Amino acid sequence: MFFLQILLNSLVVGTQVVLLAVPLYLVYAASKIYHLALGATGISVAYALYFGLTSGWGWPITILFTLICAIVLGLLSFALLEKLAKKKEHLFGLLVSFSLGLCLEASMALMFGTDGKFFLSTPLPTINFSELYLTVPGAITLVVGIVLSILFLLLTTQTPWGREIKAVSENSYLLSSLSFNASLVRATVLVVASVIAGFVGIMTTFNSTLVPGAGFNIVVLAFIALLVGGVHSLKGTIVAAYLVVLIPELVVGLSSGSYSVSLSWKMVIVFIVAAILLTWKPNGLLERRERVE
Amino acid sequence: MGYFLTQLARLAESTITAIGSHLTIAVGNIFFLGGSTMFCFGAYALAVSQKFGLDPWWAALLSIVFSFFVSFLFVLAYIKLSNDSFAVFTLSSMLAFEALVKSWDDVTGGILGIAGILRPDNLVKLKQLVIFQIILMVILLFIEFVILKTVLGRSLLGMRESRNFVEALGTSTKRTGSVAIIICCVLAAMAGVTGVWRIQFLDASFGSIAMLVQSVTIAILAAKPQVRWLMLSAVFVTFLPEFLRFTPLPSTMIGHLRILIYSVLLIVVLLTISKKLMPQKRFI
Repeated sequence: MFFLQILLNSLVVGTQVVLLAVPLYLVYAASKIYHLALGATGISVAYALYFGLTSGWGWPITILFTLICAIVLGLLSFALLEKLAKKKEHLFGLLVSFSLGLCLEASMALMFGTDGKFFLSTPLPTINFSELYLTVPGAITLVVGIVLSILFLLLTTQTPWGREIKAVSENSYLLSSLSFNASLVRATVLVVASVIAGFVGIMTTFNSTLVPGAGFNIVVLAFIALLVGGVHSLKGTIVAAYLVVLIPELVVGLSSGSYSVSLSWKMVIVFIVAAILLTWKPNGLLERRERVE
Repeated sequence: MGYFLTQLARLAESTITAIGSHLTIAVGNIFFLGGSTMFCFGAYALAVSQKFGLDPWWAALLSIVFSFFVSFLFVLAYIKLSNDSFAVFTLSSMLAFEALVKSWDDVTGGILGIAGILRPDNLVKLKQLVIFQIILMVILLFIEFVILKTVLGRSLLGMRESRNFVEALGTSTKRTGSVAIIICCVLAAMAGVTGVWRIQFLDASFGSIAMLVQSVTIAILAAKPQVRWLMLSAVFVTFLPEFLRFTPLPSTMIGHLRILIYSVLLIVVLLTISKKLMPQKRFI
């Protein structure tokens, strides 16, 4: 039963990572830029929700305000990254995105302080399955994460939108000559990514506390999942996201006696697992070898 | 007087770290973002060695030797990964090292850190230490000046233009890039060593993101592969947020405002002068 509880908790954390790895993958697929600001974007959106709730606006207006904030942050990312994506200056895009993340993080710290904030003053509601339990935000994350993962897997592989995203990153000028608006595709992807990141930010902080720096850890985990899974494979990214979360959780949870590993080593184990997987398969877990004629 | 000495010391530390970033990012177009990790690693290697009773100078030497060997991990990542993956991987190394430092509390002191780190006998006073740091900075700037004139410097500059072209001329870009990364790591560790001698206390927050953003901003703002631009850029970036100290803001806000200023500056610099760092496009 203890093993199943670890598995269930890992599934929730893994789904949070998947939910951030999916937008990271989408932005990379559309612009070849690692959008590291997504973590801070998610946390900023969570702060918007917190602000609405503590101001006594009521749920409908607060949710609308939060959604508007997510869209505005997506458009801000687009405004900053579009020029660099067009010029294919991907590494500068990465640095701009990283700096944007720091800006958002510092702004949140200045506006709300660095002490942890809680959405609920009461204990989190839970769902019990015999001896197993799951928090309601955890259950929502799990369900939404699985649905969105399948949806985006289908969207990117089976629909014209997915093909458009890939085409934009390959040759946006050629796509424009076929009367497609490449900028619109990138803007849409960034806005969708911001909204999903906002959802992840809210769900993550519902389960723990809301602090300005919380986004960086989860975006690094999502990035590791993307790297281990293969930057061109959404399926690989999803599998890797669960692996990089599950293995450290099991190592920490199942270790006992004189060989027990404390919880604080979890992040170190994540990096060791990532390093081993990357050395074994540098192009990603599910990446196939291609013959270049 | 203490304030000015501290500022000079900060200038020296950030310039020494930025020399490595300048060589890798601005000269060689290698997006190595592990400088801050190595800054912190150098400091910890020194502090732990001193904790085990080593003389400060020997501890510093050992720290630099360790940093040299650890830099090969980054070299391995450079050889194995693509450019952008390497950039984010080196960036996340900061998080891994922080987690390691916090977890391994028997050696590193965990979140409580290591206090009472001794300075060498001949650098006990802050003034002596700052003079040492400035001399070290000048020597290292001169070394960078020499490197830029050598085959290594020219190969790095060539890599910025076209890696294939450099390879075609018989120079291994992987080896050239690896050497630049090793130099960057060792310099960052040196800065960390002198930095921790100044503060005499070390915890996981030492260096961190603020140092990374600062050194990368200095390197990118310098843009040109010239030492004088690097120096000007270092002076500008280090002293820019100092006006905040003269405002009636609470000290808890100043740290965040400094990061905000650096990151906004980095965005502006990247969006305006980034083309100077990119290979020149020639249309015939």
